Amino acid sequence: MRIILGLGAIIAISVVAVIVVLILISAIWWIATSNWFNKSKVKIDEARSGIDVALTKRYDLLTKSLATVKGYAKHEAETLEKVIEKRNGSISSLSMKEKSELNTKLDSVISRLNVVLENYPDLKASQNFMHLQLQISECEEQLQASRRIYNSNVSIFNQKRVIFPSSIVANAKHLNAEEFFEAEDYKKQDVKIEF
Amino acid sequence: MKPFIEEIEKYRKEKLKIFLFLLIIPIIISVIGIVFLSLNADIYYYFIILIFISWALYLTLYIYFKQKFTNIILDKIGSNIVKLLYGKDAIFKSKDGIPYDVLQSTGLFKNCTRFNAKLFLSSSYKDVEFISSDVDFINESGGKNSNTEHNKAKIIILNLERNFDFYLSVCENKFSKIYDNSPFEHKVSFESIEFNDKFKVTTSDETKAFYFLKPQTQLELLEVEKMFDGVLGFFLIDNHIIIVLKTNELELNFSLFKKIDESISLKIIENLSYPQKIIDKLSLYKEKYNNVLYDIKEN
Repeated sequence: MRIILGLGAIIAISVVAVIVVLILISAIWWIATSNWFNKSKVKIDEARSGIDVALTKRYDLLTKSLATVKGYAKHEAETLEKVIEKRNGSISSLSMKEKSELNTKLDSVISRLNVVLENYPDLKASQNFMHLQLQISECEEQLQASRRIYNSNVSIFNQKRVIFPSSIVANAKHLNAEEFFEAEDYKKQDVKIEF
Repeated sequence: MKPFIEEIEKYRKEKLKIFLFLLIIPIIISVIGIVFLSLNADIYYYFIILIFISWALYLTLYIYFKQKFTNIILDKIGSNIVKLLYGKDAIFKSKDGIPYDVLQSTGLFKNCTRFNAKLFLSSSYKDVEFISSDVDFINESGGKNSNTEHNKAKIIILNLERNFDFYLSVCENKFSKIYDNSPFEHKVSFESIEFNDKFKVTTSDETKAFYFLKPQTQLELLEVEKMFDGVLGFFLIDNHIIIVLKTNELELNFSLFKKIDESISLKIIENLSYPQKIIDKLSLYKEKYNNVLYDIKEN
């Protein structure tokens, strides 16, 4: 049995087919973009945890160094300790801004500690202390690496969030802009330390 | 530089004397043969054969000796130069190279049908141990349109004191003929657009890759690529750095009849100083790369 379609029916079927294809393409694009945002979020979280690990390591190493310094220069070490006073909760619970601030404080304490060390050549020459200093500087580099990964992921995420058409998906998912880890800016402000 | 060049020049003159002395034999045979030929003596054809054999022997000896002479001179100049550049303990062998097995064991290079290596150098510079050699990965395709493709490069393998415990591969995008495809799975992009356009970076640990390839190191690698005018592969495998450079092949043919001068030694110096230049340019002598104390042990 042959069905003969009129011109109107052919046009109608074609329009429906085009609409179905467009809907399909849009759905696939929507899912892909949504997945990209999800994946990107996971990558940012991974990078953030990298910063947490490096920052915690740096904090711990500096606390160890100050404990060693206490034996030689009690007053100075205690003053520096106060600057990086014991935190309630872990570093990972802090916001990015707070982490950046903590990092700036650590920078200031390290540079101040180096000045204090000039007066204690015995301590500076001690093998254990030298090892600690090496590890602090190594930790600093690891933190920088983590910061670069984090910021580069955040930059890509934030760009895609505002660029059309991916911004439609971002708005629908109520995605907020991610905060950068602004180490360099905070470094410019020096933390005041007085002995 | 002069003393050893003078010594080698003296050696060349001695060999030239022997060579010229040996030239007398075919000349005498030729003269006697011509005399017999002019006298129309019955035995002249024996002399024609003898003349032919003596000259053939002499030429064969010349060709053999020329190659041997080139190798000896290259060894002598090379050994002296590496001692000047890297100190007494430096080892140089003009005919040897990094073994194929060693390169294949890294998992970085594709199999090739033939492999040549020469100008082996083993030494240390600023306490960084290294080996280097010129290599040629040759691929031959059979059939009607048989084709031989040469992929020549200078390979330098550095042995660092510190074990970074990860893999990093930085390959120039256009250069993939000799490398195994993406030996390490995770592809990484960096902040520098120029660096990303030029190189493909894969690694086993993204954080360590960012740690190792700081913006400064990225710039230095771009500079090294320009410095050697071409292809570059930079690989870090735990405590080994493998650098592949596209350099001009050192083609040297020494002649007994040509004076050996400074210009030849300058060419050899240029080739053998690549490890030195690389270590300096990328600051691979720094304590950071060579002090095991930098490793932070997890508590």
